[in-house]
Amino acid sequence: MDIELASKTIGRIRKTGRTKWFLNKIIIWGSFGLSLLLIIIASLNLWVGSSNRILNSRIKAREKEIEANSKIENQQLYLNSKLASFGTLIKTHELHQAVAETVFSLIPSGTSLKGFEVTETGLIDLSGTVPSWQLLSRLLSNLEQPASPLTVSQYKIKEVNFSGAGDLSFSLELRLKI
Amino acid sequence: MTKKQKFYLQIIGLILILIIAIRPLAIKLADNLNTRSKLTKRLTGLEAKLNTLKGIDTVLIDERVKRMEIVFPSVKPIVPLMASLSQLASDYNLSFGGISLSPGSLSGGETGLNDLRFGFLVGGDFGKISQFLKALENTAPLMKIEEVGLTIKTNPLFDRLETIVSADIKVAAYYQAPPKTLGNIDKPVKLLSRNEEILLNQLVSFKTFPPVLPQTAVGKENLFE
Repeated sequence: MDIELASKTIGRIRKTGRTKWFLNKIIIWGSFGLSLLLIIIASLNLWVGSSNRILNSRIKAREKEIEANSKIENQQLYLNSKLASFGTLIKTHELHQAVAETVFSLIPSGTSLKGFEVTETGLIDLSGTVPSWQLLSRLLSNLEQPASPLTVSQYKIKEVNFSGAGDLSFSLELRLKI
Repeated sequence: MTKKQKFYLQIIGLILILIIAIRPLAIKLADNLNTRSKLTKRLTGLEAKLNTLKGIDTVLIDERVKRMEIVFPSVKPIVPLMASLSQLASDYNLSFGGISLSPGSLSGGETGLNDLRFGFLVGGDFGKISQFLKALENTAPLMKIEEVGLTIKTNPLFDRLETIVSADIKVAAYYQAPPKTLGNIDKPVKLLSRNEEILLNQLVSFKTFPPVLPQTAVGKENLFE
């Protein structure tokens, strides 16, 4: 028969000893782990830092190359900035040219045109003088004919006056089909 | 100091090391990684820009800029305008004169588009004047007929072969200053769209005339000759 003397005390002492041993291990391995972590982070920092320096030098080299090509960049920027306005001008220009061409195709030779004005709504005020009735009737018949490049969709005779010299002055309002 | 206190001190020491040494290092690493990603992105952008610039045909862009400058100049095109109009008039055997200039409007603002109003008189056969007017809007620098006034010089009842008329024409010529700066070096180069390429091709359709260079008056070089 075994007699256990102070078994409880011995058990407590053993448990405390194990805990201390375990905690000491944690501290040793913890210190080791932390040191390793420090080394890894420091090395990574060094590596990323040097890689950043390489990237910076590559960026500087590219910047120099871009600066060497600044003439082309300038030219491209110039074209881009001008094309926006040029595009708008060309559109109105083409329309205006078509209107001017149509008006000149309608006027018979011998007509003295005072001027024509195109309003925002596409109406054209046409005024001038013709030396005879024949020319006026030719002008009016031209308005009835299909014109080019635009066609007259509507016209209104606003005024016809005789002058002492036999001339006829007229004022017309045209609407072109755009 | 008891063993328990010693142990707690070790634990606190470890935490302090973690805070004092590792944390700033970790923060610096995060910063470095962040910088690295920014630098990589910037380098990619710059390389793309450089490739775009290298891909642009230098001869073609040079030609286009020169053409654009003739058709849609950067400065008030007074001299080229007069040269073009007088030479165009002479092409159609028309007399040219009565020039009047007005400063034009500065619609400027964001686009910087300006115009120059210009008045002149051409005289000659009506048919030729009509052709001249058609050709005018296709002549460089870019201009638009604003007003036309025609006056008959011969009586068509007596002279049926040709009607000599005088045309008082007012045109507006357009110009726009180029951008002053290139902007940031990281700004990508905008390539021309298909529509813009079509527009550029229209520059070729504009008739151009050689500039009239003023001849410098030179006095007698040798007084004794």
